[in-house]
Amino acid sequence: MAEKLGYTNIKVYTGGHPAWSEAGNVLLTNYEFVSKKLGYNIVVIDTRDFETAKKGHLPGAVSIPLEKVISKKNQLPVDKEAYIVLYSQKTNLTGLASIVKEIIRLGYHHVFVLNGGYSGWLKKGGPVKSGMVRTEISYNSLPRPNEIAVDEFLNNSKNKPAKKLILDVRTEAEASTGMVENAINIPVEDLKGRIKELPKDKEVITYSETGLRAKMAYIILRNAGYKTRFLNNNVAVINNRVYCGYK
Amino acid sequence: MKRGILILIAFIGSLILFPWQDAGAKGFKPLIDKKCHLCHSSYKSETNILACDLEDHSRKASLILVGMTIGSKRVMKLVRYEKDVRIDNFQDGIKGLEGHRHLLINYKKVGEDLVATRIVVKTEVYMLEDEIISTKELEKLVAMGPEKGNYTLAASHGKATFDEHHIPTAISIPVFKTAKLKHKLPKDKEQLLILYCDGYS
Repeated sequence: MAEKLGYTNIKVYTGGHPAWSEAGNVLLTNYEFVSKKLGYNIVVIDTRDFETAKKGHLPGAVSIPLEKVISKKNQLPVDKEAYIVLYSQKTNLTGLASIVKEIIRLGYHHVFVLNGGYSGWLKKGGPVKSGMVRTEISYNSLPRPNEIAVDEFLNNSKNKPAKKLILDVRTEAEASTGMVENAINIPVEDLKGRIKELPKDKEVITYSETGLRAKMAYIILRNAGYKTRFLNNNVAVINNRVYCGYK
Repeated sequence: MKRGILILIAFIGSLILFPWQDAGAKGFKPLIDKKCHLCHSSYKSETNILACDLEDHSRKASLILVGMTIGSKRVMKLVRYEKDVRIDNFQDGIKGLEGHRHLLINYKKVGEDLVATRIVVKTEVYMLEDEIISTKELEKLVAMGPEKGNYTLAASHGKATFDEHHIPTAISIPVFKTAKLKHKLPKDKEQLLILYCDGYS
């Protein structure tokens, strides 16, 4: 395409951003993305010193000065799909590189540095807060669209609302060790063939051991026109008690 | 009578041309992620293929979930596989399949299920050595910045992806809008122009 426009010195970075990130380099994220994401499955870390952060910071940000971020790594969310955004006053690539690298090494998939830093955020007219700023990482795990929150899931299991159905999509062998109360079992691999067993007038809520097969079942159901959501959390059933891992 | 012979010839002809298909049975039309079209124009005339991204893999259920962007829609499909499914360009075997991968899947339909008959793990596109820039070289340039390094780095994926994450100093030139956005590209056509997206295959 670019050749057609007459460019003669074109190179392609074939590895793209996955290779860039794997090599331990920083990826930048933009105001446009972060402002929409605030408060929603994201940890925003203000890496400037505490007093500066107190004067003004992104809403919901946690103040952890640069040199202390790694020592707080145990506070990072269990959910490795969480977005983790770090910022300083300006785009600080060299200062934040080693921290980003370490957090990626811990298994997090979405670790970015805010392009333009706090100054850039202000320039864009982004919302800020001043005064109290948090110093401990906290993470609001709102279920993503089409997921169900753990509490709602457990409530549905207990109270069995007429318009909802809980579907265990693990194998029969797994289900025989115990299921969530009021659930029925159809293994995900049999679901397409047995889909007619499910009533169309109910919302079907799927769960599995880790949420992976629950998501697959959710997609089969959605494609078949069902109203459906899935539990994207770990579920263990031990001695007829259900344990849901919070993310 | 003549017409009967013509039909017979056409029938035999179709068997010669498409020996792998039952006479008269049409395959399923291909589902191709829009980025694959750029290089693989032949995919669209094939049947029973998915050119897609790997989204998830459940080893317990022997299912892979794949996604492809078609137009502006993201289509998701579940594909079942047998233990001995053929998998190309991949040493770890089907159970080791995970991560960010582009796949080409041939499948058959068994009942309601899509069952993979062959999975090709797409590797990086073959390009001439001098058309490629390595991570190390790019790191050096990015550290210098576009002015001192005398380069333009253009991210070819969509603006939403660019907003979520991009390589420092990159500008957003979605590949499908290149012509419209050419004013953003450098005026000097001899200046180094680097293109990237989420890996080419």
